[in-house]
Amino acid sequence: MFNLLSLEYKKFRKNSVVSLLSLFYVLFLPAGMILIKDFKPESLGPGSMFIPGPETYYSFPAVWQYVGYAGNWMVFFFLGVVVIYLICAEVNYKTQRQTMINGMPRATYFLSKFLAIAAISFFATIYYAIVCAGIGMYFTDDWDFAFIFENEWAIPRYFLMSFAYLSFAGLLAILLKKAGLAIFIYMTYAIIVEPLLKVGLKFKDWAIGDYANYMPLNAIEDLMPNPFFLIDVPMADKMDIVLSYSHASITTIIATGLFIAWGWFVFMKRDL
Amino acid sequence: MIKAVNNLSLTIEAGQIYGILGPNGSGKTTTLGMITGVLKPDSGSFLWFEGKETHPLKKIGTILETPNFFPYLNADENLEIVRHIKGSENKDFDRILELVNLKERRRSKFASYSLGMKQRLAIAATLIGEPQALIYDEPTNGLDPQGIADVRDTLKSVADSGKTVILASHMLDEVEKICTHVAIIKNGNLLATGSVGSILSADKSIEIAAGEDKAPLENWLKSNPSIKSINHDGFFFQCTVDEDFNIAEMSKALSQLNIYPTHIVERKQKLEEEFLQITSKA
Repeated sequence: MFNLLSLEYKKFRKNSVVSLLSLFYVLFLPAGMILIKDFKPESLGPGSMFIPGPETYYSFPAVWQYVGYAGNWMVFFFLGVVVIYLICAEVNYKTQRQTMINGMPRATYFLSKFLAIAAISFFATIYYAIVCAGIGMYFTDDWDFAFIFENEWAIPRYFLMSFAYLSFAGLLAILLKKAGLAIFIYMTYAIIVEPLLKVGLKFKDWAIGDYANYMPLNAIEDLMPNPFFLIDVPMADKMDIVLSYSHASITTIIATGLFIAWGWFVFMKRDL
Repeated sequence: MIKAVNNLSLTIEAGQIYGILGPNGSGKTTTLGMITGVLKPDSGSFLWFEGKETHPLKKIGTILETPNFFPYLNADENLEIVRHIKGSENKDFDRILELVNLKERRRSKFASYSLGMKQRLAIAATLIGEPQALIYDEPTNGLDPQGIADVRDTLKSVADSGKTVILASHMLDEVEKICTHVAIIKNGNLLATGSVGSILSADKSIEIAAGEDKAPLENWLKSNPSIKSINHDGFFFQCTVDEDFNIAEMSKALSQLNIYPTHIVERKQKLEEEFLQITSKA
């Protein structure tokens, strides 16, 4: 396993695209929190009494939710593109084909890419935990280690979210081979197609509309949802905006399994 | 449906330098793609090293069509990736970089290399891990004369080292010089195979010209049953003749007809001529 990860590292450690996007993730994850430092809920007008101010975002346990939601976007944008690049660049350089010619079995090559995805998810999660712990400890007056980790399994949820997003990106890269096309479909499906489908199904009043939240990208997003959707007001329950963590986790695990299986099936069968 | 390769059966023994010849689109690269695992054949099978190796491709160095490396890495870094994949312990690339004459540029990025240097790095990569066999598919494609000469010298060194080599090439002169065996394929079908000596017929070639007396010379050549084929290029006629064809007797017969050749060259049939004859018949 470490042998394959070491090979991936040798391939991309000097790649400027991968380095730059990884740096963006590292910079923008805490930067997102700094940007909302001066946010005043009362500026939103009526109903703002439900919305917490920055003093809440930076303290335990809410900091896990807020940084998690920022990470939701950062992982999707920056690290998703990194994964698409890791796979499509090798198709473009024909090094994928050469790797097989040099004797690496297809299954091992496929495994190396998904191990890389797991490793990126792991380090993204470690960094998320460090950022949350750092901000939380600085801004929370009275904390102890037990209190820090009262976060409804936020760390494993963040890992699962990252691994699922990146597996989806990996699947599209394997299917489409061209980085530009894969990034376009990745963004378009997650930001436009699935949300529109979800809203459409909900408003059509079909029985299937009850399950609209179980669409894969929506379930992944609900692992680290917009914290404002979690505010304890009756409206949120009524609108059924987000899945529970357990439902989101199970749906995400099933969807991720399908992404990997689909990618495997296509990759093992086709000519290179 | 077009069959790129059809009913092709070859056996290559250890130590042979095996040339695969064929016109463009004849199925050479497809064949090599199948035996290196990048193309999935609809049917048929192949066996490397009599099935004794678990990962046979790690024991084979291959260039298929183009040199494929990471453009932002230098020669050492790219070779290290190949070494890692092949699981070789030897991290010393000095000898192979010297062999392909790239030692001076080993720290330059692959993207900055000329096509000839890229091809030579690809040859260097095929030598990592002490391979038992080497596969080179059109290793001089797209190279300038200097690049062709460099790659040709490197190939000769590799061939002299006693390794099994499979060479798909249009360089028929070089194939003839380097290879011990050849297979000629066209439209995916095997037309001829065997040692280079057995493929080359005992026939000879003569090249003859008679200046302005071109028409009578051509008539005489056409009427002579010992002459098997005639191609003419300007004043020159290239003829394939029997092994026992006698030039002195031909000169005597021509002089009796007042035809005086200004140029006569006799030589053994070349692989190129044999190749053209075999592929034109198919």
